[in-house]
Amino acid sequence: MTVEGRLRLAGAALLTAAGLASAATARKPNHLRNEKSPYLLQHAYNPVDWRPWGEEAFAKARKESKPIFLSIGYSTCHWCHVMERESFSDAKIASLLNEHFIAVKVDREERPDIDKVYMTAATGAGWGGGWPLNLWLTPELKPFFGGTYFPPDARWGRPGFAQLLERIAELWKTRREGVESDAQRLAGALEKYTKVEGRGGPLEPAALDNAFKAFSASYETSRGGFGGAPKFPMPVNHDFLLRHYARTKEKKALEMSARTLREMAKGGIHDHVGGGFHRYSTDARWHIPHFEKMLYDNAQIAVNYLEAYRVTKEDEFAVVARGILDYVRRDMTHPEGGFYSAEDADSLPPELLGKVDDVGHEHRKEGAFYVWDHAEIIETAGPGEGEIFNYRYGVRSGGNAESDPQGEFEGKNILFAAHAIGETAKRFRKTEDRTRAILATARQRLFQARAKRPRPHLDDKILVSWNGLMISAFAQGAQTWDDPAYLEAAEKAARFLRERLYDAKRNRLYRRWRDGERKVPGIADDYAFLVQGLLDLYEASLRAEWLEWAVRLTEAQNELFYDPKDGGFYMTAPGHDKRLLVRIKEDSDNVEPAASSVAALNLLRLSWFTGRRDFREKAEKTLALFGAQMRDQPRSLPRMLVALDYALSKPRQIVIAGERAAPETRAMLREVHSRFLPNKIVMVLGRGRDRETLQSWLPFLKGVVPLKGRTAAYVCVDYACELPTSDLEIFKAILDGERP
Amino acid sequence: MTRGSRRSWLREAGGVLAAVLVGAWLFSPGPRTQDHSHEPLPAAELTLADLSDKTVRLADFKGRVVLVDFWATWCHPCLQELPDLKAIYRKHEREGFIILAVSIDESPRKEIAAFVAENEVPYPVLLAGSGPIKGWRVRGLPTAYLIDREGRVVRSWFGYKDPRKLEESVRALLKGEHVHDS
Repeated sequence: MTVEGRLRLAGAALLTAAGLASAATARKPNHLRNEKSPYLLQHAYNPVDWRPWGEEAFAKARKESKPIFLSIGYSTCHWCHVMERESFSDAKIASLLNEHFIAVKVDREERPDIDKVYMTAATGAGWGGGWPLNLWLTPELKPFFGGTYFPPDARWGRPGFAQLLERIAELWKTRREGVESDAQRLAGALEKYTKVEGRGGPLEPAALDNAFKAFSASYETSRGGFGGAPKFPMPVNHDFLLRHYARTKEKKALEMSARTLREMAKGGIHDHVGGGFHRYSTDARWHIPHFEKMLYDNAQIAVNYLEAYRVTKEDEFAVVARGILDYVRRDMTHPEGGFYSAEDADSLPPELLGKVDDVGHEHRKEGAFYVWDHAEIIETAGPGEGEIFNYRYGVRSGGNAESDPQGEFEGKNILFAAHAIGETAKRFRKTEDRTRAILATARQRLFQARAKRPRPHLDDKILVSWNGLMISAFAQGAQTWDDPAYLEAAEKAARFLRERLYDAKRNRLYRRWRDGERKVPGIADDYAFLVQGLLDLYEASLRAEWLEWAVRLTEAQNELFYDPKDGGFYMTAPGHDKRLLVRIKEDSDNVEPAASSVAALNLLRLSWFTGRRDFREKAEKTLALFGAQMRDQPRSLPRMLVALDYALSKPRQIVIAGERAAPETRAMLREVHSRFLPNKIVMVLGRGRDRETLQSWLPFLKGVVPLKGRTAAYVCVDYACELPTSDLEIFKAILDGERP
Repeated sequence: MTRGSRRSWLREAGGVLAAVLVGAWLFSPGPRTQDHSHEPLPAAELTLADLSDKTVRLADFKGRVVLVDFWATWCHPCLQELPDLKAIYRKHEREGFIILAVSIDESPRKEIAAFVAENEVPYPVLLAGSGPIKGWRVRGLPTAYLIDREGRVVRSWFGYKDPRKLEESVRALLKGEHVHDS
């Protein structure tokens, strides 16, 4: 019998053991107290003697010959809070952990590399995947048992945590050999699996069409999205589908993406009052979300809506995109420009304000900041406005949550666009414009009232990879509307990262900054996502300094993470952390894209900017490493398929000879950026240093000069160049492919 | 909790090895490249200054096979096919083949001259500037017209010129044969 099997039996047999012991109230810190991660700090006063990931903990485990209890989560993770409250604050459980184990806490957002290794092990071993991720390791850090959330006592078919700890401690004492050999076997399988073997193949356009078919097959016609509940926004899907539409003009690809985005915007997953999106929907209608807001989601979703807007010119998409960007600028931006990581789902319900001590998580409730009583809206928005608002947003006097998995929304309303503007206008006999104005007023009043509620916890650490994604979003917002405020937000963040998280002398990134401290060497995601942000930022700002930095970072990325033998990018650099069991190449585009996918597209774009053949070769080899996977399991790699699409396409090279700020130049740029032209590069050649930089990479740009003193556009596609033109109408025709 | 989409590899731990095929990335001409053969038509006059400001006329080359090749220093595809053009020129110049490279650059003469020197262009380079050129349709770059010994345009290209096809046509015209699509 495997360890897993033995433990399952153990859990079932001990159903009746003690449940919640009285919570320790003494506020004595453990070894996490000097950490900066908000997640680790949430556990710094647990009676569990937590230690951070590090040699001190591991040496102790070896010395005392105890297994390690490794618990991985993040600060806005609902079940992490639940376990913190139920188990890690419990004196009895703490004493079990402290007596038999060395307890180590890891913030997965700070250390996705550690999380990746153990999540791969846990899902591979069939222990389940998710957070909190709890594992028991040998002192050599090899996992032998694990799982996600455990209730303190047996419940919902899950073994109780206290009993599990006792049982594991006993097994470790009595059956160590068996446990160690299981761990050894698992570590071997892990190493083998993570080699990414047998997934390579040639790069074929057929993979793109095949991927479209795979998306079509799982598309849910009525409410959008792919597959049933829970529904994640999955921005990478839209990245692929909109490009598939751009390439093939297949209307269904656009329809699948646009409809999904429309349904998401209508749903409770969308914050109708403050802008931005919650992490995912627990139901198939996008109505009942988990309320945490993650930077990586909002960054990528903003890009989805911006791109959908560029394709369709539907105002609705623009409004949603602006809502996200304005939310991040308002609530998620450090005064010096970097972007914070996340906002929690839970907060103190307003009615408890002043009545209880809001320490720890005890009194906080999911969505409390976001949900409303029917009467409260009437009172806040005014009776007339409130009634219209409640109709539009599906608010009912008894509450509108049709499913309520944790029993937290009773009598409460989660706003969703139940009725269209047109319907609402008709119902109240008003014009659509008037209805919109009334709703805007009501929203504003609700926003102000909500601002007085206790806010959800803010995870204010600044991560390079997620900031890279957000820089892309602001840069694309700046492009779409030629909006200097969005450009400023993107540039300020890029400068923040350069000053705070970059060591220029060594050409190395750090991953995390918080409270004056930078920590954790950058992983592949940090380099790849930031380079992507900088490429988008160049195309918005036309300042070559961002391209120069992108090239330097790409060189560091290639040196640290690229596998010259097989292609692809490892998540970590050699020697990054010798305690990690394996060096992994992320092999799927999930809620965040894989570094290899993003890096491949960056390298292709940069090869056009710089003429660097080595960049192109690395991109091709990376795509080839996953060639068969793209063909056979396309939905696992939509973002890599975007890179494949770019690689197989004939990107347009649009070079504008003129001064960056000149009205003629701006007019041409507006024409470029108002269109959805994914496979292109844009450059502006004025006078001065920026021109020198670009010419040093592509000497032929020397001849790209204004015509008779006027700004001129030079466009080349596929080994042929249009004649340069200063005429905006001709330029537009060229962009639309309407030149003879 | 999260999505667990990964298959259980412990059960499939005996993964299959397959060779990763990385094909060489061949730059191939695409749909925008156009290659036309024509009913032979007399070429229009072409009178332009060369880099030393000497006037050069197409008529000066009557009796030879001429490739009138419109290009510019900024045109990357022109630069990419330059080695092919130079090779074909060198191979066939003694048999009566010449290339007249007509620059439509806006840049000053000395910059074009520097480019020509650096890239060792062996055949005459003429300067047209960026305005229209009477009698010659140049819709983009590179654009090229192939002219037979009788001064008639028999073939034209827009975009990349397949060097094998170009050389085939040049060879045929030098022998006094007709060119047509294969």
